[in-house]
Amino acid sequence: MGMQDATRWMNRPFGMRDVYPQQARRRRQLENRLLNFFESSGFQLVSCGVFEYVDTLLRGRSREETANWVQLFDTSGRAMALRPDLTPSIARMAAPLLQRGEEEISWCYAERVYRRAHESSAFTSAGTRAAESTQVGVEWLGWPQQTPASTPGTSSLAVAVDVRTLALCVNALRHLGLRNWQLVVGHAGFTPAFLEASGISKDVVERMLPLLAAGDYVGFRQALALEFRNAHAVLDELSQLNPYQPSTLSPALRKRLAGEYADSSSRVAARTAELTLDGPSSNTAADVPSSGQAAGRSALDEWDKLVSLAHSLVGLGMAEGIAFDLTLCRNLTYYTGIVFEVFAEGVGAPIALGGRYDDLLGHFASAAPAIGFAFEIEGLMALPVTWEEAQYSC
Amino acid sequence: MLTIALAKGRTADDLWPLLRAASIPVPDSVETSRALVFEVPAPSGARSSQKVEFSIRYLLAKPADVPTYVHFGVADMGVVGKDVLLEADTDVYELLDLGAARCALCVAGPSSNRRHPPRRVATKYPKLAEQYFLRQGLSVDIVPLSGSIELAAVIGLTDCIFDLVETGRTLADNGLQVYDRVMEISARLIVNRSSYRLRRGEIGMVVEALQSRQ
Repeated sequence: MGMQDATRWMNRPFGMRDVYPQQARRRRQLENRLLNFFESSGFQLVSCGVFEYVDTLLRGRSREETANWVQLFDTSGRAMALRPDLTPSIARMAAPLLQRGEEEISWCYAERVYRRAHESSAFTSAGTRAAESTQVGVEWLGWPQQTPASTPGTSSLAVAVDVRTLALCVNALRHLGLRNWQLVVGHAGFTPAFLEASGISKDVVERMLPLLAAGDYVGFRQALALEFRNAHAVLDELSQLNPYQPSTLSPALRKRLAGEYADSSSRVAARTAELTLDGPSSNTAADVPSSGQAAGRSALDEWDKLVSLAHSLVGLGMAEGIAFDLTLCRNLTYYTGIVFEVFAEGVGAPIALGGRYDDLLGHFASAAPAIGFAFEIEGLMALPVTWEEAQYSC
Repeated sequence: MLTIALAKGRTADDLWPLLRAASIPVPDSVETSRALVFEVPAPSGARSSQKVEFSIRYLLAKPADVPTYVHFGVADMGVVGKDVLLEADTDVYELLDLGAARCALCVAGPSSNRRHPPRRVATKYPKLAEQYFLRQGLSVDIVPLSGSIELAAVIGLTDCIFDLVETGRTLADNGLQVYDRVMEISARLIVNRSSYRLRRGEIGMVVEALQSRQ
């Protein structure tokens, strides 16, 4: 082999991967195994094209996310992108059916998705940084209509949907024969509401959440320290909350979120523990804006649902594999409720990701609650497991 | 067993006393040996007052490789300067600012060049250097080098350098001066994302021990 030959073979576009027979077979086996499981659980297979209009993908999402998309123009000059995930496409496809009166849609898919590959990133096999990767997932949209918002039935139905979805994900993991994994649940509504109710302004919270999503706890604390004297306390309070143990939300904290205080002295004590003396004007409870109180009530509301979710998981015997971490955030802005990631030993990136997105369908003129998750097949392939073994063992 | 990757050189040198102060077991021969892997068995009964009661394996790696070891999970945790993390842009959790191995990213050069906007800049941090000069509204050619960056400014390959400065002695000895202190840098504790989830107990103990010392 001369060097000349080698240069002729090196003409593969950046971020693309070749998959040779053994690997290709394994990838197809994993896809089939998951699809079969989802189909037997009542989800129907759908498919769609790899391009979507940028404006479709951007609905319910922040413009910053486009930085990682592969964009180009169609022949009419309209901006389109290779889909970074399937959720917007599924929402687009499901919206007219839901509007026409279909009560519930449960679909599954196995498709390639695309992100811009960065020059500096050498991480392909252990992460999801390659330009092209495979996702096998489910989306469950528009289950039977909820009762009016104030009745207790609402929260139990919403929780039942979350429970069913988490259980489906856990059973899929079991079906794959995976052993050492951990599913971690956060909440896209609770965490910002909690921070806001702690006295941090909404725009600061929005700027800081990406730090949590990136796992930059040091940066988060430093950004918080610019606002707060006691920056450690807020993050520690958040990380200690555990819906399996409802008492981790102490009565004092509950009162603070509810905006009520037993007496004025404890009120000042509670506030000064949290709030910085920013310049000459010191913040006390009296200054907390009413948006903070609304956030506090919404945080409490979501907390009660999380406790009820945790209770159901214990009842199903799934508490061991599912942990809560309310500092967990995902960098997708369309999530509204629980968000979750599955980690397995030996793979740095999550092998499955998902969450609740109740507002996205509204952007497609067909408001309906929705939830979904997807497995990252290349992540699964990096696991040190012999799949042939797993295949015959279950 | 928990595996911790440390950035060889100043970061590791500064870290050993810090680990000892936090009662985290440290190999005895580490300051003299040239080995790259050290295993410390779990403290036996006599020393069980220690909080960390499992064995630890330390890896000594080139600083720029520490995030890679942690990202791929061959190391559960790592200790490395913030400069490396900013340049590498990897997917790991950054849990603690250890406050050790403090230094600063600086723009430096010979005093004669100070007044001219630079045209060429040598650095080990092409990404950070470009970001910095863009913020200054300057368009410069970045010359990536992998070591002894000062040399570039001394012999006139570039007008100035963008590099890590600890004491400033190397700069002074080479007739260079700091034009601008761009960013303060310190050692950070980073953790592999799945280790953080699957080995929370052990990692929590190390984090707590280090935090209680701070």
